[in-house]
Amino acid sequence: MPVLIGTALFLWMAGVMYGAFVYAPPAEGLGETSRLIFLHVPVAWTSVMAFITSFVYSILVLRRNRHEDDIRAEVAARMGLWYCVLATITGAFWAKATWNTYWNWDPREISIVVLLLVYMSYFGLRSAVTDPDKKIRLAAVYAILAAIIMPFLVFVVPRMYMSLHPDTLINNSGKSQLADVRMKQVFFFSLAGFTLLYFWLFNLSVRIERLVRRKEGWNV
Amino acid sequence: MKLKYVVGFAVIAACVVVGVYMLKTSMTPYLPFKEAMAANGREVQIIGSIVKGKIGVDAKTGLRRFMLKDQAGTELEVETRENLPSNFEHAKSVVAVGSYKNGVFVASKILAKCPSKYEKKADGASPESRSAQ
Repeated sequence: MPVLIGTALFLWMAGVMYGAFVYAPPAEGLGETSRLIFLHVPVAWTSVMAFITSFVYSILVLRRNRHEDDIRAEVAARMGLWYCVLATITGAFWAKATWNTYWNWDPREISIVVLLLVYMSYFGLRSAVTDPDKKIRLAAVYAILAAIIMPFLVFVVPRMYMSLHPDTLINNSGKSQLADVRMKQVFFFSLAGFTLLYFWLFNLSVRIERLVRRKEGWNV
Repeated sequence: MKLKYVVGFAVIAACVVVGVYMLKTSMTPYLPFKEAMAANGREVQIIGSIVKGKIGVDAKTGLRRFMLKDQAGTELEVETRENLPSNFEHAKSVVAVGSYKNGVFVASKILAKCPSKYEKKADGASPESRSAQ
């Protein structure tokens, strides 16, 4: 069964790659670089999902004080951070292609750096506390605060300031930014694929983390 | 969850929002044009929309000139030696990096925000037509 799911996901993502680089047409103006939208946006979306997951499990940690919930909270935060890094890197390459500069300290770029710092500090906090029960509670409080700030940094700040970053797909104009039907198809196919991939990777990572912690002497 | 936690989180979240609001100017590298003009030749970044009909190239000096308008409505003439990005006239907003000298903003870098609508390229290039050739 796990092999089936893994294979199916592999095929789905292969389909996403084909869609992004062959099936979807290049966009007016942006040309071939527009294909990055099929990777950059789903990756950023996955990061948001992961941070929300971390938020939910951190609340559970505070309520139930169970290490099992903390495993999920930490794994989700870690995945969120990695996907956020990926979104930043794909964004930087796209910036080089469209604005001829990898980094310009644009408001969108500033807010993503702040978000990265916020979640990197989560791991700093965890390693600074040695007592396991204190660690999971402190980390949970921090993750909850981080997740409250996150939507503000990801969704609000870029809409408050004039920015080079293209208008977000959800915006005031009321019309879809993806005007071509093939682009719409590939985009949603990719979004779904990355979402499924997230759940599968999360599940795997939680199981690995549980084994790692058992080895380290945690009671899980 | 206990009420005191909810209140505690709400207070902290409110502090963060207030903090960011206070730091509003740090969240963006772009100065309003009035400030850029008062910057005493310091290198700054500005962002604005293109004032239509005012883009030109000086054949003698090779300088490109155009007019930008910022959110406050101030207009500023920008000149640069850099090649303007393709589709420049259709750019939603433009960032210029440079300094204000002698009544004009001399830009060393021009970054254009492309229109955000992803429409198929007009020449209709598609995998089918490519492989048929």
